[in-house]
Amino acid sequence: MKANVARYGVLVALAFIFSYIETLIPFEMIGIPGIKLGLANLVVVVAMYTMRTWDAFIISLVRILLVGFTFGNLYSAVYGLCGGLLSFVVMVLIKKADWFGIVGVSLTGGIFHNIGQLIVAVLVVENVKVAYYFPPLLIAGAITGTVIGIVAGMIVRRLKKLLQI
Amino acid sequence: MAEKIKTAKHRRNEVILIGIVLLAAVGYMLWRQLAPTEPGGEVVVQTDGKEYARLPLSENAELDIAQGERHNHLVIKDGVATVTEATCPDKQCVHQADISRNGEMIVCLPNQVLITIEHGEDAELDGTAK
Repeated sequence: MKANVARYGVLVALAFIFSYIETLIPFEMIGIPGIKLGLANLVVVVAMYTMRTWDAFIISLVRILLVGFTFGNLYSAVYGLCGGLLSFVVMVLIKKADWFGIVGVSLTGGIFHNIGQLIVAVLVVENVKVAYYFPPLLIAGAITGTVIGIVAGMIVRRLKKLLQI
Repeated sequence: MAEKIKTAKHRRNEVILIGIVLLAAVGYMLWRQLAPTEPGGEVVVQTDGKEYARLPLSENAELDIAQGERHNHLVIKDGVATVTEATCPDKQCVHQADISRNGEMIVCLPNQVLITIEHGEDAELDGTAK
């Protein structure tokens, strides 16, 4: 239990810093809203593969709430929450179904993160036309998700050796 | 905790998944390049799910989309619409690409503003959520 508390703290802090670094990257220059690298998702994926699902969920939730209230605003917190929760649920299901390894899980997570945010966007502006952003967001989510998945795989392999799990 | 992070089956499925995504990406880009996009006729501004203003794209104009304390400044110049200033916290609408073709849009989520380009002549309520 004690070890878990420490690990919670380390991972939340790490995810928090990743989110901060992300606010420094000017991705909005691409002209499509909502594209992000998803660095914080790296922590969530690693947690999912090295701790219990429940632990990873708590870390993800705490991270989104903390980041939403420090670097963002109410809107970005709600978007982050919907994207984060949907992507988490989908990743857990895909992982349970054992269709993909860590790369595929992270890839699907990236896609569904963007789908979740797009759903909120449609509800907010009350116009389904916002789905116009769906194709570029899907592709962006797949690319960033794959990159995150590959890196997460490297980390998990080393962590498992280190922690003997 | 004994689950494998990568097996032969995973690898095969992942290759298929990435293939599908790549195909979708290429298809989308081809479609964007090849599909005939007519130049738009009208700039339609929607706030909070309701139509706020409808301006011809052909005339230079500036519009302050005001909703109480919340503002977005729309500029139409030489057949191109863009948002130059906004009171929203993230300024996504200011950074989004300029729009001029039919169907293109700029969205400001915090202020619930949606700016789209439409045909003009047959601009009924198509696609507008009630």
